[in-house]
Amino acid sequence: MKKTTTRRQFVQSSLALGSALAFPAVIPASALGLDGTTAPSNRVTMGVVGCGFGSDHWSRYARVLAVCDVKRERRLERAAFYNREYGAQDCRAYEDYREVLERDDIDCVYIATPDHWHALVAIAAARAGKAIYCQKPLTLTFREGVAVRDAVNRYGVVFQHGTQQRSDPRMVFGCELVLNGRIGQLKNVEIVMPAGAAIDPQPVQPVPDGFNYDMWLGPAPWAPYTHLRTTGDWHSWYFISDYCLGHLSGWGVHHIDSAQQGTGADDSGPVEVDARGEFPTKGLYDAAITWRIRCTFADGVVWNVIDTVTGRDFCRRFNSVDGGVLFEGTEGWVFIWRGVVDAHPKHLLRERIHPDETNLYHSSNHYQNFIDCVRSGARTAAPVEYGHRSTTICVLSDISMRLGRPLRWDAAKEEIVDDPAATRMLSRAYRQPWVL
Amino acid sequence: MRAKTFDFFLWATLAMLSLFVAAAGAADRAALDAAFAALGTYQWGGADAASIQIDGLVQVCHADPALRAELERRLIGVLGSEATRAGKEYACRKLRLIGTDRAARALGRLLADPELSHMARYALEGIGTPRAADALRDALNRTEGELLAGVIGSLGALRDEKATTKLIPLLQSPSDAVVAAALAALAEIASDKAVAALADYASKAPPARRPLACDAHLAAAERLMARGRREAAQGIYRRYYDNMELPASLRVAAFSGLVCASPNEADRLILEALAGPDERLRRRAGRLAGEIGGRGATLALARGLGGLPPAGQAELLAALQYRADPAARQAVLVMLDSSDPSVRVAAIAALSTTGRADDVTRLANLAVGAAAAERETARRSLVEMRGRNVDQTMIDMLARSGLDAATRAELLAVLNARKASEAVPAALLGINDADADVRTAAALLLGHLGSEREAPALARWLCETRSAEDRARAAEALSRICARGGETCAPAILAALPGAPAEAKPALLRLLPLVAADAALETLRAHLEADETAVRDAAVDALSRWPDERALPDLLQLVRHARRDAHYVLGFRGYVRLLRARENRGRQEAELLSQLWGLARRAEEKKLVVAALGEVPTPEALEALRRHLADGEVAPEVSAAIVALAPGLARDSRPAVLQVLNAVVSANRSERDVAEARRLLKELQP
Repeated sequence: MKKTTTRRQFVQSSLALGSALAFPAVIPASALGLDGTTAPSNRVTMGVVGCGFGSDHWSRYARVLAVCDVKRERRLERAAFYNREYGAQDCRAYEDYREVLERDDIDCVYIATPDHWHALVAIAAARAGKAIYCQKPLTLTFREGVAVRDAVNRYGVVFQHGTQQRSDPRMVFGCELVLNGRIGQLKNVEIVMPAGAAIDPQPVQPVPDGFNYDMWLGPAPWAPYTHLRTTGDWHSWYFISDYCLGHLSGWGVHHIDSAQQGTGADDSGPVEVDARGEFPTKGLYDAAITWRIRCTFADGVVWNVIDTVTGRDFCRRFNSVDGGVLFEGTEGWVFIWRGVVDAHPKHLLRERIHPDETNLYHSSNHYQNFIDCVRSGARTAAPVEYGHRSTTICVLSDISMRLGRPLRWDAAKEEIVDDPAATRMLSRAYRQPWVL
Repeated sequence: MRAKTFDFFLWATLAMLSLFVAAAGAADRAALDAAFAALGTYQWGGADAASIQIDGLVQVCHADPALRAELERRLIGVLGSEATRAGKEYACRKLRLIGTDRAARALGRLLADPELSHMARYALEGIGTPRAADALRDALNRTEGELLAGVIGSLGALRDEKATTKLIPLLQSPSDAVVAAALAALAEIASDKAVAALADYASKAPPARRPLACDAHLAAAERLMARGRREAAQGIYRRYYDNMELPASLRVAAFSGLVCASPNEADRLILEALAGPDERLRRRAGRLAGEIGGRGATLALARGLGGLPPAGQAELLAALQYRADPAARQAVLVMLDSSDPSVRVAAIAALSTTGRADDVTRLANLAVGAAAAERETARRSLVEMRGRNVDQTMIDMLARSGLDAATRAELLAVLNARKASEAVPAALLGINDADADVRTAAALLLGHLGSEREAPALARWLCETRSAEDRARAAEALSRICARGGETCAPAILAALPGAPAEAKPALLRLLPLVAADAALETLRAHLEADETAVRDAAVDALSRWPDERALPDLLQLVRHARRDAHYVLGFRGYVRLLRARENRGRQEAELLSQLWGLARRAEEKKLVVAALGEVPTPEALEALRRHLADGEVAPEVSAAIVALAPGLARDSRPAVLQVLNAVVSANRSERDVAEARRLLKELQP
């Protein structure tokens, strides 16, 4: 697949590309134990912003000194959790992320807020010089993605996008098989991801005590409180388009990102996105329930992106409840899913990737990879540029679905071609006083 | 729940509808009137019939100017009506998509309304025309506090240069939100006047606001760069980079910008930062050294390498490794002799991408002779070096007489990690090496990269060696090859067996399930009654691991007639395993397992049968389990299996299921299962 070469990705165009795309870590002599000193401890310090998914995963990797959530009980519970884990009392709970970012003793932040908050927190963290692990998708809108990418690059902070499939060695191996031509010329990519949901209209309810609902809404349009609007599981804000684009981006960006990795499209994008979807006709949710998306790339490769309901046969074929990614070439196929790689012909699974071939970034633990990079300053497995590109495909698909027509996309300029109405949907005005 | 499908059929239908409406069909106009009237009472909570109709028309009207104008007119009408807040916000959302200058004035009127200001901006930012910007600009005088901040933010999003003069005074606002919005907007606009204002404010701002002001100024410099105004951007970056009083993060940001804005000076700037004391700046300089383009930059950076302090050298070597440009090789080689260990390690690592086959010998020496960190890095560099001739150089070195054993072993391990299948012949020689480490490395390589072609040689080694360790090495390599090659490896193993010494036969027999040929099974059967205990044990063990049903009768024979308990257990486990591997298990499997129950000597085997029965979704299996409830040795397992199996059978075998669940309750063997059985009974009662 053709790549757009940029200053930052110069290395991809180099024939002498290193065996891994990771920027090498510079480990000082003290860290190597060569000067007689003790190697630094693993205690990178962290602030957790948004006590959502994964916010309790960090005690093994970092010293969490601050947790932040607009729900009082949740942040107090999470702070108590980390204090229990460490046998200490120094993890403090905050309601406002800005107070966390003001702390000089915090090296990095983990952002697990709803999607409509990702950009503001990430940009503020970059300004504060903090390394960032941001849950996926990168942002809710395209314009936010550009702003996050710019801020991260401006301050040169370490950034990990929460697409942890890039740290799944089997999935990465599957991508390497495709990139190195083991299935011949790539023709087609089938991507299947969990479908969305719908529920009945919900009653307006009083805001619970200890919940800063106005802050939860943040830059999103005001709406009356109802419990299911704000709960953090998969039956809630994931499916309300003011906060998330549904499973298409909330879950699907994982597989989109893997497809991007396997087709060498990390620095580019499709030339056309043609999406059709089904949306709820009533109730609280308004994100797509099912979809059929066709992304066409400049070299003729086509991605067909569908949900698990539409792709029932696919899931049955590969015995996968959450879909997966199937790369089809002229001489075989490769299927990847979490912890799984399958291929036809089967001997491909025993193939070995030689140092002279394209070797992708190797990481087997996304969290640890982030912490290692915080210490060394090295490039992570899922840098901000890749996260922005994969999230953009989700955003474009959502726009195409809502407009009911195909979009042409100039991936180099990052512009929708000749469709002003669609262009309007690349950005959303923030609710005051929030400013991007 | 119903769903609306935006497919081509609906698209076409809506297109026809729009034409119909455009043609002023009275009935459809009435329907549209009704839909818009419904917006008057619209509430949050999602779509309804009226909004779905409007959504559909909004979707198709881009191709129908008349329809679009009609819809816009009606949506504007909603804004001025007595419609609910939700209804007016809905209208704003649609005007964001189809609104024109006509809507801008009506939307502008809402900007001072605390409830509707945001959604009015939502629409105006979408419309994005000069009229939309006019409306926002007009509101600067009519709003304050958070509403004003929002309006400013939208002017920034539209990059409205005309707003500049109105925005600049707002930097003096007492409101943090207003100042933050004005800074962001001026950065987006980045006109000369806006940039000058940012520069001025950044130098005078109160300390609490200064970082945001500097950030806005730097962001404005990026806009200037995007417009090709490199020199103006350079000036901004230089101002912050040179100010040693600023926080490190701002200086780092300014440095990055300066490097990007100064391609002719980039290498000098980077070397300067690498030579400095600021660790964050050094790290950033290192990253940028990896990213700036061109061979000229490589050469310039390489020339500067020697003049840097060790910390800067290590950063730059990492950058040269990332650049992967062989032009840096000579400079990297010099650093191998540095007195600083971290520099030496970085240089060794950099050779992985800048080195060539000529460097293999040096790296190999380091991989066996240097201190731990250098040794590990040299090994990794050898593994990662690119170029086919790298493999060949290592293979040639192995063929050279006089090479020490440690290096021979190291090279074989590296070739294995490099997946260099060309090294297989060298590894075949290696299994006869006098050094045990070399033999280990050779066997590992053959196991990973060999094929059935190497199986005879490995089988011969296995038979001929007197060393138990070598036998284990050969067996391990063969098992990997057989696992990949399957039946194609059978001839090598079967040919080796007849003449194999007694101590080699067990290992060879244990390979037979991996090749799984008919002849292999026959050979296993023939060894079940062998004279040597170890050979018999190996044959039984191999039979118990046989991968398919051909072994079922033999395993049942073992269960029935084995003279040793160990053989009986292996036979029993193998038999159950093969039954459990069957697809679509049913009545036949239930029967076979029931028969096997009669042959179970101990609780362990009974539990295996219970577990297997619990996976057979038939009434017969359920009945068999019920019978075993009375067996005190396995009753808890039986209870658990029944409650797991029962729900799936309830539809077709309800009486039997009820009976068995009642039996679980009566037997009362497990509190949890009894509770679950009661729950199921309650659910299943008519």
